[in-house]
Amino acid sequence: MPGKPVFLFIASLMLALLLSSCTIQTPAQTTPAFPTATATSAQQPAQSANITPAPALPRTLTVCLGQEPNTLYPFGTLNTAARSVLGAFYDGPIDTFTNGYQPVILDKIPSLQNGDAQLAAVSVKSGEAVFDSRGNLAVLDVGVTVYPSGCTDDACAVRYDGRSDLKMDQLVVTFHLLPKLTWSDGQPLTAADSVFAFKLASDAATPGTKFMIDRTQSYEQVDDLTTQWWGLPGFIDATYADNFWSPLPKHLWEKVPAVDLALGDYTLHPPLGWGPYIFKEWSSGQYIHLVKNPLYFRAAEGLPVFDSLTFLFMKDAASGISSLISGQCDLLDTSLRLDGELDLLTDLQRSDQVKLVTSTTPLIERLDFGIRPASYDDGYAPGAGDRQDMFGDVRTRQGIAYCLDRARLVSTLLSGISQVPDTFISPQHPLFSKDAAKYPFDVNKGVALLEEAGWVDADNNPATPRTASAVKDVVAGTPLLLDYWTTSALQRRQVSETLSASLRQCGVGINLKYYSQDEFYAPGPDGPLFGRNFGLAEYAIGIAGTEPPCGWFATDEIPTKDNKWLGVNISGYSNPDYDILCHKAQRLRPGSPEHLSAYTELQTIFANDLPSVPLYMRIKAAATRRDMCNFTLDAFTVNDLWNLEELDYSPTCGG
Amino acid sequence: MATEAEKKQQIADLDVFRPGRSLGQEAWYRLIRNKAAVAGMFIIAFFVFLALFASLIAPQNPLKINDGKRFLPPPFYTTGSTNTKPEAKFLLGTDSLGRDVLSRVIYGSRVSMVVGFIPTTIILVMGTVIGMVAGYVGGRWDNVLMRITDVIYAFPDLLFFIIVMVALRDSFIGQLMNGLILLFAALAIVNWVGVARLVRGQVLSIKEKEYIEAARCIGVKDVRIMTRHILPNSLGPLIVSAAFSIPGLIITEAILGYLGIGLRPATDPSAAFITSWGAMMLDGQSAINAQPFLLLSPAICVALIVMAFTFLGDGLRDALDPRMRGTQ
Repeated sequence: MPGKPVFLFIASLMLALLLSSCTIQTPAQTTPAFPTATATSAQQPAQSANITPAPALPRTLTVCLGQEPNTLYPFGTLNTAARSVLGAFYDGPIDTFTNGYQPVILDKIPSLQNGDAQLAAVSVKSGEAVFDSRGNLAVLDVGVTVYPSGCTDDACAVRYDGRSDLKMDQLVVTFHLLPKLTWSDGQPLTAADSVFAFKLASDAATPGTKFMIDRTQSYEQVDDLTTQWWGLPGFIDATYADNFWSPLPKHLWEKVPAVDLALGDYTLHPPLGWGPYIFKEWSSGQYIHLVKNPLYFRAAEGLPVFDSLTFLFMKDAASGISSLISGQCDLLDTSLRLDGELDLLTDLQRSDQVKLVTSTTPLIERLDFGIRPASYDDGYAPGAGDRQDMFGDVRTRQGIAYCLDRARLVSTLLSGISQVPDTFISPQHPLFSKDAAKYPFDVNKGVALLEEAGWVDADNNPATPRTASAVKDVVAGTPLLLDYWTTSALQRRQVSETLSASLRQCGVGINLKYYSQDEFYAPGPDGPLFGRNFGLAEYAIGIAGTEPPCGWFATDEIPTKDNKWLGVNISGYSNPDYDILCHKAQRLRPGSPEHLSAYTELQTIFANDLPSVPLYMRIKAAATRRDMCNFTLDAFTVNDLWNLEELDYSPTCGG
Repeated sequence: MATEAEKKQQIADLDVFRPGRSLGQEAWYRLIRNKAAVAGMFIIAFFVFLALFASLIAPQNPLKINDGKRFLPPPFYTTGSTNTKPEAKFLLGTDSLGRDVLSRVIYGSRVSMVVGFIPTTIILVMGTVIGMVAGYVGGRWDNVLMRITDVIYAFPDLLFFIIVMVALRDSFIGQLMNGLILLFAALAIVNWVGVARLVRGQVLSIKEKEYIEAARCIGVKDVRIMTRHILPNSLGPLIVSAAFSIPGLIITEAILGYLGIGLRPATDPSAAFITSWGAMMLDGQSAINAQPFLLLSPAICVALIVMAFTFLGDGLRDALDPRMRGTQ
C-alpha cells in the first residue's frame, strides 16, 4: 500500500513535534546546557585523563535579575538589569563610591590638586555660550549677568556691556587612559574611542540626557591615551572628575548612523567592550549568556574568576529567592527589589542558607509639605477655592515633623537597615551637617508647636483632629485634616499608614490618597506633584553623582506655568537667603572649606524652615549564596555588579 | 372497603384540597427544605452579624500597629515563615504592620455587606421603574429606554468602574465615606440594565393577562395596575436576580480593592469602614510567603459569602418559580 509509509512518516513527524513541544524550556533547564567554546575545549583533555590530570571544569556564575534588560546599547534608556549586564562588557571606566571616584581604565582620577583639572581664566566675547550668574546656559550678550574670573557670588557679578574685555573661569579636565587596553576583538582602545562616544552621545538621534553635553565646550583627543574636557565658561562642575565619556568601538560603529545604533538591535550591533566578559547569546525572556574575555586587561591577575556568566531573568523576588536556595542562582541582583523580602532573607541568612547584602542608596524617601500650591500663584484666595494655607506657619511644619515616627519606619518596615536623615544630604555624605535641627518623634514637642501655631484641641479629644483657633491665614474652626498623597506601592502604603497612626497621636488627621506612578508623577499642571496640588506628598528623589542637590529647594526650581512646570521644588518653598547660598555653593570648589561651610549653612536653613521632612534613606538589597566572596554594595555605585570580575565562591567565604 | 388504589386517590385528593398557604408561605416552605439555601442563609446571617457588631466582636483595634509583631503566624502554627512565634491574642496572625488580621477581616465584612445590599437596592429600584415603564407604556418610551439600556449593557463593566473610580475619586462624591458612595454609584449605574430587561419582559407578559384587562375595564389607574398587580407578580424573578447580583457586586468591590482603587483605607479608628477584603488581599498577595493568612482569610471570606448568596439564589429560584408550585 503506497500511502502507508507516507502516513507513518507523517505520524512520526507529528509525534516528534508533539514530544518536542512538551519540553518547556525554563531558565533552570537551559543554564547547564550552554555549549560554549570554553566548555568544549575543556572537555577534550578530560578524555585523555589517563595521560594528564583532568583540568578543572569550567565555572559559571549565574546572576539572577528581576527584569530583562530593555537594551544593551549603552546610550539607551537603561533599566537596572541593563546596567548590570553592561557592566560585564564595559568595566568602569570610573566607579563611583560613597567616598569618591575610583579609576578603572584611567591611570588616575583628575583633580585640581593633581593638576589634571584646572581653572583657567579665558576671555569671552559676545555671542559665546556661557553660564550666567543664575546658573543657566546663556549666550553672552549685553545685559547678561555673569561671574567674572575669580568671583563666586553676586557681590562681584558683572552685567556684560558688550564692549569691555571680560574674563571668566573655565574648567579644563584631562583624562589619561591606561596603556595597552584593547577591545575584546583585539583592536586597541584609545582616546579616539572616548571622543567617538562623546560625538555619538551629542547626536540628536541618540537617546539620553544632553545635560553635560550642553555644558561642554569641547571634548577632544590630545593623544592616543589622553582626552581633554573643556566646560563652558562659568560652569564650575563639582563632578568634573566624572566627565570622561565611556569609550565605544569607533572601529566598528563609526560608519553606522546614530539612529540605527539607537534602535539597540544587538544582533546587528552586538555590545563590544573591554570588560571581563564577551557577549555570547541572548534568549529572549530567559537568559543572556557571556563568556570570559581572554583579552581582559586584568587577565594576568586571573580575572575574571569565572569562565562564563549567565544572567537569568526572574519574574519576581519570591521566585528569585527560591532559585537562590535551590542553587539555580548564585546571586540575586538589586533589580529583583528584594527590599520587600528583608524579613525572609534575614531569617534565611540566620539559618545559613543565603547571604544578605544591603546598602542605603542616595535616594531619600521624603514627605513634602504643600507650602505654596500652584493655586496660590495668582494670589491666595481661600474664598475662591484655594486650599487653606495650612503650612504657611513654620511651627505647623515643625510640629508635624515631631509627630512623625520615622524611627519606627526604619525599625519595622526596613528591618533596621536604613537611617533617618535629618537634612536633604545623606548622613554618609562628607558634606552632611550634624548641627542641623533634628526632629525626633516627640508627641509633646509636636503638640506644643501645633498649639503655639494656633491648632487647638477644642473638644479635648486627642483622637479627633485639632482645629484652627488663631492660625495665620486659616479660617477658625478648620480641622487639621491633611491629604496625604503618594503612590500605591506596597511600601508607601505601609509608610503612610504608619505615619498616619503617629500623627493621630498629635491630633493630626490624615486622608490617604493613593495613585498610580503615572498619575502621581504626571507633569504639571495636571499631576498632583509637579502641578503642586497636594497637602502632604511622599515620594523619593535621588542624586546622580556626589554633589548635594541644594537646588531641590531653590525658588527657581518651583514648577510653575512660566517654566512649563519643570522643576523639583514641588513644595513651593522660597527663601532668598537659601537661594543665594545655594547658587554660591554650586560654584565653589568641591573640598574647599567655603564649600563645606556653604552646605552646612544650607542644611541649617533647610532644617529650620523644613519644606520637606526626610523620612529615610531608601535601601537596596541583594542576596548571594552563602559562600560568595567579594560582593559588596555601595550607596553610590551606578552598577551594583561593579566588581563582577572579582566575584567568586568558595568554602572560605562561607562565614 | 376501599381498595388500595382508592385509598391512594383519597390521599392525593387530600393533598390537592389541603388548607391553602399564601404564595410567600409556599415559597418559604420550599426554601427551608433546600439545605444549600439554608446553609447560605446561615452564612449570610453570620457575616451580617459580624458586620453589624464588628466593633464589639473584633478582638483588637484593627488599626493598631504592634511594634515588633509583623507577620506573626496564627497560634495553630509553631513558627512563621520568618521564624516568628505566634501569639494567642492574634488568632489569624498579624499583617506587615503588626495589625491583627482577624480584626481587620471582621471589619472588612462591613464593606462587603454594604456593597452587597445598598447598590442592589438602588439597582432594583432603578431597574424596576425603568423596566416597568418601558414594558407597560411601550411605544416610543419603550424604544428610548431600551436603547439606553442596550448602550449601557454594551459597555464593559469593570472598565467603567475603573474609569469612574479613577476619574471621580477626588471629587466631592469621591471623598464621601472614603469613596464608598462613589463605589455604590458606579456599581448601580451599570447593573440596573439587567433588572430593567427582566422586569420589562415580565411586564410584557403579565400585562396581557385577563386580570390586568379586567382591572383596566373597571377603570383602575395605570400606576395602581403596575404597583398592585404587575409588580407583585414580578417579584419572584426580581428576588432571584437580586440574590444573584449581590455576589457579583461583592466580587467587583474586592477586585477594585485589589486593584487599589476601591475604598480608601481609613486612618480613624472610629470610622465605620476601615478596610475591605479586596484591600486586604492586595496587602496579602505581596506577603504570601511571610503570612499566608493575610491573603487567605479575606479570600476565604469572599468565597464563602459569594457561595452563600449563590446557594440562596438557587434556592429562591427553585422556591419562587411558578412551575414548581404544588410540588414538594
